Amino acid sequence: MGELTAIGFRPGQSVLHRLDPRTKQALLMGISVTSLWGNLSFLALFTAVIMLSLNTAGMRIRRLICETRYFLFFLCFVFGVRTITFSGGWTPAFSAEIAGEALIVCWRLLLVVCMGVLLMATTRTADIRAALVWFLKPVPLVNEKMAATMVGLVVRFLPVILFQGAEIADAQRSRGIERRKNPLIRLMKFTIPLFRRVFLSADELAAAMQARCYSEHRTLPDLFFTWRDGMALGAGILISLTVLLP
Amino acid sequence: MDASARQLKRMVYASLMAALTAAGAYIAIPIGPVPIVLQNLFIMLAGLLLGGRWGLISVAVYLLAGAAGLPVFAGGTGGVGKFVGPTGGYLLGFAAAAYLIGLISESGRGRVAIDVLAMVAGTLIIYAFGVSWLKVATGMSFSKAFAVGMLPFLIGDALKIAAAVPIAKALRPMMDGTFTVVRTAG
Amino acid sequence: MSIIQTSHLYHRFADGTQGIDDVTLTFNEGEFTVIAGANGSGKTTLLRHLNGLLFPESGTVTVCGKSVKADPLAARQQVGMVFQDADSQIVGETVYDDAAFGPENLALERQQIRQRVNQALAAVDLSGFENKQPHHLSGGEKRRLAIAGVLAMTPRVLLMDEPFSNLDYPATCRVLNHILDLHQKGHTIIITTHDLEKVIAHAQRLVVMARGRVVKDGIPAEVISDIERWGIRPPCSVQLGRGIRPWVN
Repeated sequence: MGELTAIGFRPGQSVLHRLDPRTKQALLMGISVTSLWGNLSFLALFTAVIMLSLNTAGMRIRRLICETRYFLFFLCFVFGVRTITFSGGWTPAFSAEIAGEALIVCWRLLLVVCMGVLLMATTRTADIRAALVWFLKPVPLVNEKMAATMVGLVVRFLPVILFQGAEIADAQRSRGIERRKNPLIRLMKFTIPLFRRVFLSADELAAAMQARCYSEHRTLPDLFFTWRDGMALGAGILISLTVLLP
Repeated sequence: MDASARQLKRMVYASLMAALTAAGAYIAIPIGPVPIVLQNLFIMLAGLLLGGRWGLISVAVYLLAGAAGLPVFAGGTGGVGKFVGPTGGYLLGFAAAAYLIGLISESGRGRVAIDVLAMVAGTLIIYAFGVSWLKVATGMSFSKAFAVGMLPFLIGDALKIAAAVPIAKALRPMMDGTFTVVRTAG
Repeated sequence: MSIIQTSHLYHRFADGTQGIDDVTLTFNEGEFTVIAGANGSGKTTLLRHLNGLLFPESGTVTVCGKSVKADPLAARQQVGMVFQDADSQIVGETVYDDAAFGPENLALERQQIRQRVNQALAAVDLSGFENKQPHHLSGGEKRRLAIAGVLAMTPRVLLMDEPFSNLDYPATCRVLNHILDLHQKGHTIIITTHDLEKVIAHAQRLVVMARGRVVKDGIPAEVISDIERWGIRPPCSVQLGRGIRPWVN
């Protein structure tokens, strides 16, 4: 369970790698939302742009499919549920018009996911966090420095927790937990030791952070907005405008 | 312990709870033919163990990490797209549920009936958000969205609520600090 | 010149057990000290008083002449601490981010942080690991990263709690060599352990603790003779009557 997802950052020198993380996130957000109204012409253009970006970022189609496989299953399922209707009897009905509509919905969702994959593959986690701090700064009631530290801890401890969970499950299997059929017992016996272990290490973690002088007045990461980012934003706006086309 | 140390400790607890929530999407316990995914159990525990305010913060941090494009959502997909996607409503529902569960159970001070009530309310909130967005994002009819996005999970949810009561009872002393662990390793 | 001084420290835990009991110690600049004791003898508790993670019930701790209680942040910057469990000490998502955590807390300039991180990683042979996730490091690499994270704060004293636990033979040698190297460069080193074998040959001073008290304090060759009384296993070479021998060459 060490490897959560293969969509990790891969170092590179492509245009996407060199964009400011804020630009990439703004594009992702803006285009995700506008895509809800997108029609054929928008989707076609958008697909072309995504393909081109995947290519420049050095991402293989096979890797992309492999990484989004669960989502692809899910899309097929959504497509199936949307298209097949049981009007009246038990015989499934199928109409080309509804299928076309469903296809567009799925296509749209797939493109948005591809954008997310691109962002993750071309941006260091530290930069994603840096952009987050910047975006949260104007939000009232949110302490952006604290949020950034917490997000960093989540990323750091997710694989550790998965590893500990697997260890607990293995230890219990080796003592025959599978013979217990009561689901309540199974849930309890797994969750209580996992939480205990995680929160015990929390005390130590807090002490370790204190030992390294944790304070909220920390150095912020620096980000650079260049002409490249300006161009990328411009291109994003142009793509979004094609929503207005039929 | 001074104020800043206490704040730091609460922050670490909430962060680890957020990491547990993220892990819950990956961990499934096989019971019979169907694996039970633990994520919404962990959401309920976030509310029960951390209370309303910090429960909300922990789920919000999880969602924030995912929204920013960090790989914390199940299925290897992340980014804002996940919120716009068909299951996005459930994610927002998680935040609301953790807050609501925490708020209600805090007022009950550990009484089992109140905790169960809180979790039932929280589960309903998750589906209220989840199913309505599922309908919007995929254009299904309401009855279909219910059939796909709620009915199959209700038995599992009932089980999780039943399990959450003894789990919270076992873990609460540890979180309150009444049970301070003395670590004298050396 | 003394760098850390404790006088008549008492600490009792919430459950009423006495953690440390009347500990008065002085550590000199550049000294290499080993604090030995069985499990539960109060070593870790004492260590946590030296950089203000715990405060005593009575008694005082001073670092560089200044009271730790008055300014714990300054003490923590001077006195770096490497915890026993490297996994719950590493905070950053990548090796670079973790080493940068301390200097970022001190609100240094980016340029300066980069320089310190590079130096710290180079000092423990982790240059080139910057983009790796801590989860993918080996046990020895994690321990070295924990040391680098502390070095990036440029402390004068390094406290290490059981620095060799759970390490295999090559990793132990490597960590030991880095520690010796840091001592050579002028750092004051204080190590706690219940396993003297690996480190005692290099120490200049051995402090033995039992039930929260300091029961012996002196140069290793003298203290080690009847150390078994306190629940600590003497090194093999001592048991064989050949005196203290270095564990690595």
